[in-house]
Amino acid sequence: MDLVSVIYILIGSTFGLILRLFIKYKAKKKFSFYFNYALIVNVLSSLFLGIFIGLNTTDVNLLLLFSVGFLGCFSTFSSFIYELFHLIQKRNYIGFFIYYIEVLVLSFLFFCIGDFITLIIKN
Amino acid sequence: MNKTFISIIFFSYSATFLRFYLNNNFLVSIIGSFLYGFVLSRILSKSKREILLTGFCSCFTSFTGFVNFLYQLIIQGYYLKLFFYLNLIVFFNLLLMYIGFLLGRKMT
Repeated sequence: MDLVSVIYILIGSTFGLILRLFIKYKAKKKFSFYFNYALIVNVLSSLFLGIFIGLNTTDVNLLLLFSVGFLGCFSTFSSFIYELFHLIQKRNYIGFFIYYIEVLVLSFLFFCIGDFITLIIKN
Repeated sequence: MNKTFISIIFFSYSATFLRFYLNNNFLVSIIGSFLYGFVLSRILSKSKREILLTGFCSCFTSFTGFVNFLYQLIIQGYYLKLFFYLNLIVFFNLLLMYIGFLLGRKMT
């Protein structure tokens, strides 16, 4: 791994981290439980991933900057698992299934929307 | 720019490079969930918890890698496999987080 790719990863991860922290501190007070920060971040990152896959780029530096750096640091799988874990701990099993299906359906939907946006831009 | 923020940035960089080095989404997510559960059960100060959970664990695991893996299964047409793997991954992560949580409790 050379210096240029390291710099690309660092730039991408800095932007992803700052955006995620910004959303976290904004979402802490305002929203309810079924619309928390992990959901917003993961759905937004699915949208970005849809756009990125739709562009179908083969540039290695862009892949490192956006996919490894930005999206890797912006999206968080462990917070999603933590929300599920927290719902199980509170013995809220209906809430567990609602949240699980909500996140998966919304991220799949936004992934398709992102793919669709690039289709419109290309034509 | 306080000290906590700089530590978060430093830990997230190391997490990103560790994830890039391991290059295996399933392994990464399982290790991240285990660490998350472990840190959760320990009694730490708020800033240390912020650094380890928001900085390290969240940057180490990535949701887009998970979505990308499912997308690869969809374009190959394995719909039954998709459903199976999807639930299996989430189940394993929950299990590992619980094991980490219990282990952290026991060590105090």
